[in-house]
Amino acid sequence: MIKLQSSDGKTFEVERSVAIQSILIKNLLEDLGESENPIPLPNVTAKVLEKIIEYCDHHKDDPPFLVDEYDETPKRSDDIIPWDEKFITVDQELLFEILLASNYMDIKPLLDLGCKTVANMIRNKSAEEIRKMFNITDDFTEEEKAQIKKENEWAEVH
Amino acid sequence: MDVEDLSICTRLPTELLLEIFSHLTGHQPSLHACVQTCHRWNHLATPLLWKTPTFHHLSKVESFAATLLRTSGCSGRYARLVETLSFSTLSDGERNNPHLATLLDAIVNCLVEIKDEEQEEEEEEEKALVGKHMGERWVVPAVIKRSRSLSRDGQGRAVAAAVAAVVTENGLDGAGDPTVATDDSALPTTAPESHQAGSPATIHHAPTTTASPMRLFCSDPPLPKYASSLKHLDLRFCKGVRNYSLQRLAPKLASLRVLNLAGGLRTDITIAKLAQHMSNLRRISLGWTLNLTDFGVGELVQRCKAIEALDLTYCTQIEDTSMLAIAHNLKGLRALSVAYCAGVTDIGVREVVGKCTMLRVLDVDKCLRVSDRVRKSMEMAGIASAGNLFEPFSIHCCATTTTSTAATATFATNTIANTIAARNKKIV
Repeated sequence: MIKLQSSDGKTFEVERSVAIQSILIKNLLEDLGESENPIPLPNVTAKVLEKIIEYCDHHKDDPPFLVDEYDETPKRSDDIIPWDEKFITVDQELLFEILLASNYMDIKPLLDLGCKTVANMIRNKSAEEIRKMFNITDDFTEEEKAQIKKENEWAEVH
Repeated sequence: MDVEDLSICTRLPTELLLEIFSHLTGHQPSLHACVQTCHRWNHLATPLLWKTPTFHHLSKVESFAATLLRTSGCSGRYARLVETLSFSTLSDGERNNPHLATLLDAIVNCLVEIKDEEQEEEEEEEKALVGKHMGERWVVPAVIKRSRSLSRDGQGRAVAAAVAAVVTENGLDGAGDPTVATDDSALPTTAPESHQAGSPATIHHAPTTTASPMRLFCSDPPLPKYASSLKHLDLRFCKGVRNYSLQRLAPKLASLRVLNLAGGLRTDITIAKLAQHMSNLRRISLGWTLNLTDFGVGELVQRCKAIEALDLTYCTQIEDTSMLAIAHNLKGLRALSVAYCAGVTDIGVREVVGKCTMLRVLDVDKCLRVSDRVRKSMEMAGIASAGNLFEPFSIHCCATTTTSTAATATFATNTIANTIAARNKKIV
């Protein structure tokens, strides 16, 4: 069993097969060997870590995730399996926290799931809708806006 | 809550945002929305949007070309992003519209930059000269008289340098350089030059258009070498782009890795001319080119030896001579289609199978003179011969690739990935 410690001091005990889905932890264990001391994860809160462990536990028997670096085909984002879909249906803040944590802990399939989910949120939305959804400040001046609109006019649908 | 939300979205590191946007690459409207969201998103999504533009109407191609022309002064802000040009999403009528050739010409000219060490040196010399004799150099009659009185050899250079100088000295909107403007007689210099090049709006791609015909017609041996971000050109069934316009563009298409000319009524001469320049070519489709003969195929494979996929579907005139030329020149060939080529026989197929050791797909569907025995022996050698397997030329419908075409698809994407790696290096 491996012990993981969140940024707010909570310790989680998980099976090795669950923990090593995080490449960060896998490398740590390989380099330092297993010990009784918990592995500190200073960037991950207990709430997020719990969620991540839930994901890793469900996927512990999956075949290793291969990223085809040469794959030029447009990435799909409509191939999320139902369990994952349910898992990732969380409020936006937690979604982004999971995204950041999976990036930090280097869990590729979870990172991929998070990115797909955000991409699906963006899809078919207007710039205004996207800004509203993610609370992004519109930092363009009117001239810049007009210029960008004009320069990218060819990509408009109609 | 609001403050936290704000911080969390801006806290997303660049690589994560890029990863998210990469899931939207097949969906142009979404990327288009992203570039209009905020500065940061604009900065990150613009390269993805411009890398593989899709056009649903000829007017959109026009607008695309217009932006490139307008921004070509700012070190080609958009021009260096474009990797793929495909007109396959236009309607039949638009693909056959001659206006498409004009637009293609303008776009390709915006994308290229001259990469010629000799020429760069010459330009530096010219600039030094300009610095020394600023006054007399900028008097119009002197420039014109000089270029006319020069030998044919020097003419191209002089004009190219003069136009280049005008461009570099000018601002975006073609306003005269202050140092030039101080000289009363110098002001008109910009006018005749830009007039020569067409409208003032096209002035920024003037060096290439003005310089190249000059260089082509005079017997000047060092043709300028062009560098371009363009790797992938899809002109399938674009009869609007005539053979002569394509031939004229040939030197500027030297960077191409993938070229689709299927069904464009291309001729042997056009193919030969293009082949002279495209030593980097990896994949080419000439399907439905009924005029293509063994001569054209021979020229192509002798010049472009790096070809990995060659589509000659329904090129009914080709015979075993083409197959022998392919076998002897294309050592890296992985996929070949000669479906419906009735002139291809067992002899040609055996030669290709024997010599091209990398071959994985050889489509001999409806080749009536290829016997079942040869087909069987191909199967034994692990070479697929079924007709529906050959689709290494799709650009936007790549996602539909099934596992059966994995061999083809993988090598195709390898090629593209390599070019991207090389490009990233160039940009950084």
